Amino acid sequence: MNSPKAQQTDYERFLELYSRDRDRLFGYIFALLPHQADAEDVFQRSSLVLWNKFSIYDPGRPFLPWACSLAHYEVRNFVRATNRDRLQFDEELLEKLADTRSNRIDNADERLEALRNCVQGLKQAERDLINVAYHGDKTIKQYVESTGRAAQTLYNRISLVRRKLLNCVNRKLAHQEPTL
Amino acid sequence: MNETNPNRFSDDELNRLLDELCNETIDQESHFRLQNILKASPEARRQYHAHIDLHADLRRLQSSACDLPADTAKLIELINNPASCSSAQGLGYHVEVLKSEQKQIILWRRAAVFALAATLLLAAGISWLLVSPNGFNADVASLDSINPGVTALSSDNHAQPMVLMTNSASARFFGEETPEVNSPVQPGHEYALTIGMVELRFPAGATTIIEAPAAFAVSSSDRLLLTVGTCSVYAPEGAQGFSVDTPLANVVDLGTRFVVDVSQSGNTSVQVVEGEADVFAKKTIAGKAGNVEKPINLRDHQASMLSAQDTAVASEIPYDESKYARRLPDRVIGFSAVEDGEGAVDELLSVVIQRDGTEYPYGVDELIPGEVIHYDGPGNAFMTVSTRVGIETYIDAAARARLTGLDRSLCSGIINAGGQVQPLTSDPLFSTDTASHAAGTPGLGVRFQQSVKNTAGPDIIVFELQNILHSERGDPFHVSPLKFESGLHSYTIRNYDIDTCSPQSRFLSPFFLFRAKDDEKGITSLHGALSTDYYPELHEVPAKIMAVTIDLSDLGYAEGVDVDGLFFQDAMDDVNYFDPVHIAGLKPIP
Repeated sequence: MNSPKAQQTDYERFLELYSRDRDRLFGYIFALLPHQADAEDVFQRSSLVLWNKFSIYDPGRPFLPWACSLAHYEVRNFVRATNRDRLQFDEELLEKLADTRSNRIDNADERLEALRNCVQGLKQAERDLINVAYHGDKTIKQYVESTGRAAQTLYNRISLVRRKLLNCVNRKLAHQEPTL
Repeated sequence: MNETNPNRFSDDELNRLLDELCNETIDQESHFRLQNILKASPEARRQYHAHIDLHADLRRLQSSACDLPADTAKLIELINNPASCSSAQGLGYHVEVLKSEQKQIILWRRAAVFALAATLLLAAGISWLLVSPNGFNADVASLDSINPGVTALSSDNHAQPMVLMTNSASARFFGEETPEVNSPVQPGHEYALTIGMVELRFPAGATTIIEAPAAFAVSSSDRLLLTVGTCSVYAPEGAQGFSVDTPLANVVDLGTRFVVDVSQSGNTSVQVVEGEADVFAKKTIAGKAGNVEKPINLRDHQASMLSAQDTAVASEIPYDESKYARRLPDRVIGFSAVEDGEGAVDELLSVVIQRDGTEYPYGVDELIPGEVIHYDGPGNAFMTVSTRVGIETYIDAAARARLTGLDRSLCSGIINAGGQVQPLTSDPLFSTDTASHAAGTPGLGVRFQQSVKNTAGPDIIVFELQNILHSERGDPFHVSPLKFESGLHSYTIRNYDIDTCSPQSRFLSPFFLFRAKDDEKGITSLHGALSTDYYPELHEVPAKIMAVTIDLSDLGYAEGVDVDGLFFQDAMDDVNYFDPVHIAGLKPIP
């Protein structure tokens, strides 16, 4: 067994790596399991598995791919356990999505920064819509239903703004401005 | 099911399916169709990832930078309500709401977070969860199968008087937000304290101070389960019988102060500071009692350790009073500031600081403000100015020099102070030559309006502005004497008493960020006239306020010495720089 001091070093190292990559890890899980509550559930499980297996982590190799590989198993386990209840991708597609995912992981921070700028560039009404759709206590579906307005119209508007933001983010990614 | 050829799809169809997926309105048939398209087309998968990333990023953008709670419900709450990690609606805070010029002032009397040089230790909580036989849902009762001595939770716990978390210092819990001060402790809930300290008060009067890393649960109104970590107990008259359960022992108080320490391997040491305590050894997993058949009675300054191999073995150990925590550390307890209609704060009104163990409230008029006498920053963004005040106020350099103290605004400051990895060991070089751009030491020089006397406990308070997309723990910084003399040295602050995830941290009111049109150093802008080469922009990313205290003794100053000023430098641990918005000295303790 490691000495307490060695254990403490392990804890510090784990936390450093985990804190740095947790958003990317969540993004990976969410890409395979595009349902907020399910992804959070698996993210929680994966975090504990990562710690449990941290003693076999090779510090000479990048942490995130290792974390994603373990999270991938957790996603598969989750899907197997719940596939009768939910609409979820099958294992064949999970493998393909995981394969095509890796190239997108590393620019998560730049993407978020670009998105922030793009949101500020929206018209006020568009920005308000996105803010309430993503910032309330409800999912988008619950928000739309709670408004009592024509649901499809709201869904269409949200989708249009999202598409506008997607185009903007793609354009912005190459031109980041310094921040605080 | 739609059996249409998955290789044939239009962008419109794919976009529609992805929108339905993100909106969580997709039906079974569309889901099946989307799955087949994604399987068949790498380009569709690329588009899928772009949509999903955007969807996730929009949530992320709206969330704060606080720790992601493991608990799903809390995570959703946090994502949907970034302010929830800094809510002012705590159960135990004394919150006094005043009205002043149609602005609300929230006065914090009690709150607590301290940032010792404690290392971020997550392990105690996680290992407790992981070693629990039932995995994620292991509860206190599950321990009973291993340790029959542990009191099982009874179903009527909720009817019992509440145990309160009466104070905390820099406390951070794994998987959940830091409870508000004076909030009730949930009976039977396993708390994994990863950083800092908390104080619990039991109904009969016993208080416990628990230090991270620790995993604990309140098992009854007079019983604490400590799975790992250190717990200092004070049980005054009337609280006798209070007990601490550990994996190996049940420590019963007989009217005393004692400290229990449980190591990662379960070894339990008990030190009695005053009074008397009985230590009952439990059977180990192997079911053997070892050499401990009778309770061990410990009195003043006696200590014992129970260690576990396959039997419980008791041995005497040297008494070490330093293990016992009599109180939480000195720190910034809280602050009050003018609040805008959105609940964000700007003008500082008062602070409450624990100095040498006692809480002292200070109105802002009682603080000794610092004035900037030197600035050398790394880039073109050098100043923030509250929109409440307006940028025209800071056209002249003298006004800008007051931003870090005299102006009282928590949104306004000379930010992005430069720095270096190794702290200073000799006098900083000042540069006030605006024409030559002569090189000075990177950082921020501050002189106090009157000298600050080094007295017991903290002497200086520093507020830092922090963009919520950056580290929730703030920017580490060095603080150094303006003039090095024998015995003086620099000191590095890596943890804030109030960081962005502390219950006391608040969002800041809107402010402008001043930039240079090129990458010219900020030194000219600070000391020279503000020309059209500099321009303000509204800072769009939400920012929060953090605070930390500095004890001049940590820089080597002798007690009673007067200190005129200090030099601050970013510790260069990452790409972000130290952003002080208010630096002030404290008058001597009355």
